[in-house]
Amino acid sequence: MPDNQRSAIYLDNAATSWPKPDCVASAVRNHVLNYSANPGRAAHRMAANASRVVFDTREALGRLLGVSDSRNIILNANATMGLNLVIHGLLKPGDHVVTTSMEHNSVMRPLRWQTEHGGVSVTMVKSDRLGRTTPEQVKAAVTDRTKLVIVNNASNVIGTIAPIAGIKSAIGEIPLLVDAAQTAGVLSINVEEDAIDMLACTGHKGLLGPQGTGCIYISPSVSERIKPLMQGGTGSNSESDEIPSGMPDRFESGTLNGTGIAGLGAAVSYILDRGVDAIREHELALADRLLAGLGGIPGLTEYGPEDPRERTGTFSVNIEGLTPSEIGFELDRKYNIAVRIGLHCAPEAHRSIGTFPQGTVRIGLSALTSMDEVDAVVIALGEIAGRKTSG
Amino acid sequence: MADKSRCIMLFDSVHDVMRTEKLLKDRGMWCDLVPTPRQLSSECGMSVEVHCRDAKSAREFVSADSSLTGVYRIDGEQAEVILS
Repeated sequence: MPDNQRSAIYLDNAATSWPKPDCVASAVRNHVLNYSANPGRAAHRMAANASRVVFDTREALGRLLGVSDSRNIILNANATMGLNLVIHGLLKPGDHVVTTSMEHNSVMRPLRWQTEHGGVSVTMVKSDRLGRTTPEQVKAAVTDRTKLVIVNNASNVIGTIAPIAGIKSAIGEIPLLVDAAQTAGVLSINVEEDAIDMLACTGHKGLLGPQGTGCIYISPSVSERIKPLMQGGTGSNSESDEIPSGMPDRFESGTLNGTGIAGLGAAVSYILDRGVDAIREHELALADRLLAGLGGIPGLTEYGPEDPRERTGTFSVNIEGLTPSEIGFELDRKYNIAVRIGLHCAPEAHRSIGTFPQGTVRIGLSALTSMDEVDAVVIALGEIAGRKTSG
Repeated sequence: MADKSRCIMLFDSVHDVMRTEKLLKDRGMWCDLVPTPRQLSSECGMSVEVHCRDAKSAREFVSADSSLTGVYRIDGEQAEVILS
């Protein structure tokens, strides 16, 4: 890696978290060097070890997400894959879907596809300028044809947390699909307590794992209604050309990303050892400091809820008279601070908060962000804003 | 003469094989992951072998909703279901 990258202050964690805990790199290395055989396909000892790490990772994810039977957790490549599985696998012509304006394109685009090609209709509940959506709003949009409700657990633009348990209570038996891309690993989640039907996660953000890993929890009450979008080898029932109906095989055709899953398992163990609540407290302390610092910068607007407890560690800002790309470029080249600029794959969210089409500069914290890094970005943004005001 | 028969727990899913291995080992019971004997299935996957004397208690540990096909005793070319 180039040295300038090693010393970077990395605040683009809402896209991909970095750095990872050391145990993640060790687990990936150990897998590649010592037991990178095909999981679930053979009984030789190396394959058995490869299968064990898949099982252990699934179990660890079950503990993290409140899933008592980890068979109901499908391992895949990212949240997008899980969201697509449900949207394209569950919906039929004539079905209606309720979602919110805070969704990522990983929900918006498959829904658009379904409205254009699948005969599905969609009601998008508009969130307020702080990204908030209420259970009452969602319930009011439900019709007798509504077969799915999809809610982003927290905005990837401004971090606003959605009341998913309240939404599930309000919609009753209608299946709820939660996009937990921004929350798994940083907020306490318990799908069984909150009666969440489906929850899609990605491994490379708050779960602190490698890219190309993810999972979706699918409750037994809906799994049989979802078509497997892919069919292929599972290592089970090989004598039959029918895809097995049991979980997780029904939705896991083809060789899994064993190496990535080894890294993800180590990352989830790190999170379980440190504790999601402790990680949340760490991020809240960082958020308090960041919000106090940003609040003192003339000409800077920060868009999310004032109370850090209503949001994750993701923040969007703009400076009067500058474009997000100018700010992002200066942060990178002059201060060696990595942030994300633009629309963050969520144009409707920017329409809701009033920042479409220019977008924002997004600061994303993580479990491994330090207070010094928060101070550095506050100082840098203060200098950039100051030069604009004086110049 | 020593009994040469083997006792094999056969499952439909690899997840249940792994879960059963952990369950039995956590309880201090000997088990091994072995290729599924050809007498049982054309399956390319793996099964859990247990001591025949433990077969009944091993079956009891496995949850009712698992994909267990059965516990088999393999004796030469013969295979018989001893527990399902």
